[in-house]
Amino acid sequence: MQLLLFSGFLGSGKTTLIMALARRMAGRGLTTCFVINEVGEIGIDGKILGDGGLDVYEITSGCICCQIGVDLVTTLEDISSRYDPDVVVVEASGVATPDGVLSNLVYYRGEPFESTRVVTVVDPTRLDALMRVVEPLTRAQISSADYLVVTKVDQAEAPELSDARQTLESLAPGTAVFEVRTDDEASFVPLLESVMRSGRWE
Amino acid sequence: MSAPDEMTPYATSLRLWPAEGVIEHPGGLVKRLLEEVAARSEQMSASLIGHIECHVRGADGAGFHGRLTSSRLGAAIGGSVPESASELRVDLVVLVYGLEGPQVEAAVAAALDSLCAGGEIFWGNQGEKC
Repeated sequence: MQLLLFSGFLGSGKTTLIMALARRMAGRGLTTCFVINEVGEIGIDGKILGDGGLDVYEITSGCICCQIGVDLVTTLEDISSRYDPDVVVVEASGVATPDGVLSNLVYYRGEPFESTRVVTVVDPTRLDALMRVVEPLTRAQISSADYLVVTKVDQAEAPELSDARQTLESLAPGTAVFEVRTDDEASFVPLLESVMRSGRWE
Repeated sequence: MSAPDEMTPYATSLRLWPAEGVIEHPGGLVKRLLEEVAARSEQMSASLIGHIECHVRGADGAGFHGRLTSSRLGAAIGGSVPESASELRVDLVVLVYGLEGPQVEAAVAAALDSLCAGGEIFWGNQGEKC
């Protein structure tokens, strides 16, 4: 069982990428479980993924990196004992730090994970604002990534894109960066293939 | 007003229904709702829009969704959007920085009042008769 953690600020495009990844994994015959953590009492992303035909575990009573990490651990243990899937995809809330989420795994007692990787999704149209308003969170999300994904490249203005590239290089030098267009699943392919190759899911 | 880097999650479940007949092009109505909430939040000096998003079900149970992360880009609508609906059940989540919960609630109410000002659409909380 391998763990893939999707991180990134609110509205950065995590759910869209996960839906695309789910379709590719299903096409390869991989079994996958999805865990969604959202801020607030009503979970929207879980409903969207449900409309897309995915069954998801929803954790909506707080943030799994700082408030309810125990809920994530018990959910992962339940998934391990019931299904033992090839992959568990965790969509962290937009205000979670990857290190905060992963730190909870020291309490996990299920089947050990073969690998744990972090995909951080970045919206270039708001990165400048994020660095002004929620800089520590933004730095933490970017610097912990194994893969960085810049979304909305068709909607961003040229200076926003070039500033985003510079910021990512400065906060996470050497980390693989993928750029994707809104609602253009073909542009997701290099990222999805790279994630699947590194997970030995080909 | 709260600190610029603080956010109070706000969520509500709403009903929208027409004065008569059906709601035509509900996707457009939901897009306007999200953009009105964003505009009202910014008028109240929100420091950053996290996201304003909703999941919508018509009377037939088919679902679609809307999401806004910046006023400049506007709201995006996805899923199975019907041509018309006799009513809409909307789960709305507003995550904006720099505003207290009551301010967000006021922004949502003002947006809904604006949307319904023409008297063709009404709104209320789910389970509530208005």
